[in-house]
Amino acid sequence: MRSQFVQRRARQLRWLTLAASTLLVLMLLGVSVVSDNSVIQVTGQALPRVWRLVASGVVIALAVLSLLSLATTLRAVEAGDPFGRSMTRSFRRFALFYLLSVVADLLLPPIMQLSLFVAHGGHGLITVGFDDGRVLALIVAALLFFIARLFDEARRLEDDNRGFV
Amino acid sequence: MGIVVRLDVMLALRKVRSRDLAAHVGITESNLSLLKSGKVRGIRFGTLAAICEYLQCQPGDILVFDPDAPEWPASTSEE
Repeated sequence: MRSQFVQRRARQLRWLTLAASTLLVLMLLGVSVVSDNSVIQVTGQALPRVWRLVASGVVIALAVLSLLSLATTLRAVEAGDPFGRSMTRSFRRFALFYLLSVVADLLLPPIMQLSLFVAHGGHGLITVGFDDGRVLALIVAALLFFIARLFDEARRLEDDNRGFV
Repeated sequence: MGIVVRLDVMLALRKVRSRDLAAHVGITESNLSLLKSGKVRGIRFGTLAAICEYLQCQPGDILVFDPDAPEWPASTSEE
C-alpha cells in the first residue's frame, strides 16, 4: 500500500520535473527570440545581450540535465526499486548537474566580463555577485550530495537485508 | 567455521514438500531454496519460528554449528 503511494507520487513528480525542464527550455527560447530583456536573471547586467544569452543557455542546459537526471531517479522509484544502483547513480548525477548549474550561474558572468575586459584592452567593469540566493543554492547542492551518500547507505542496508529470509 | 542449515534433512524426515513449507512460512520457494543451501546471510526469528511450527521441531534441528563448515558469504566487500 505504502509503496504504491510512493510509486504514484514518484510518477506525478516525474511528470512535473519533465514539465519544468520543458518550461525552462521554452523560457530560454522565448527570451532569445522574442524579448530583448532577460527574464531569467542569471548573468551580470554589464554583459552584452549575446553573452548573457550564452551564459543563460549554459546554466539552463545544466539545470535541464539535472532535472532529467531527477526524472530518471523518479522513474527508478516508480519502477519499485527505490534504493537500486541506477537510482542512486542518477540521483548523484542530478546533484552534480545541479551543483554545476549553480557554480556556472555564479562564475560564468565574471569570467565573461574578465574575458571582455581583456579583449578591450583593460577597459570595462567587472561585477562579481554572491547574494543570499546563490549561497542557499550552494548549500542545497551540498545537501543533495549528502542525501546521495545517505541513499548509498540505504542501498547497502537493503542489499544486506535482502540476504535475510 | 559456520552454521550448517539442515532444513533439507528435516523436510525429508517430515516428508514435507518445499512448496508447502514456503507457502506456510510466507516466503518464496527460491528464498527457501537459498536457505536450504545455506546461501543466506541470516534467518529472521519469525521465519525460523514458522518453520519450526510447521515441521514440529526445534531451531537446533535446522541449524547446526560446524567449526569446519565454510561461512556464507565467504567474504564481504564493504564499499
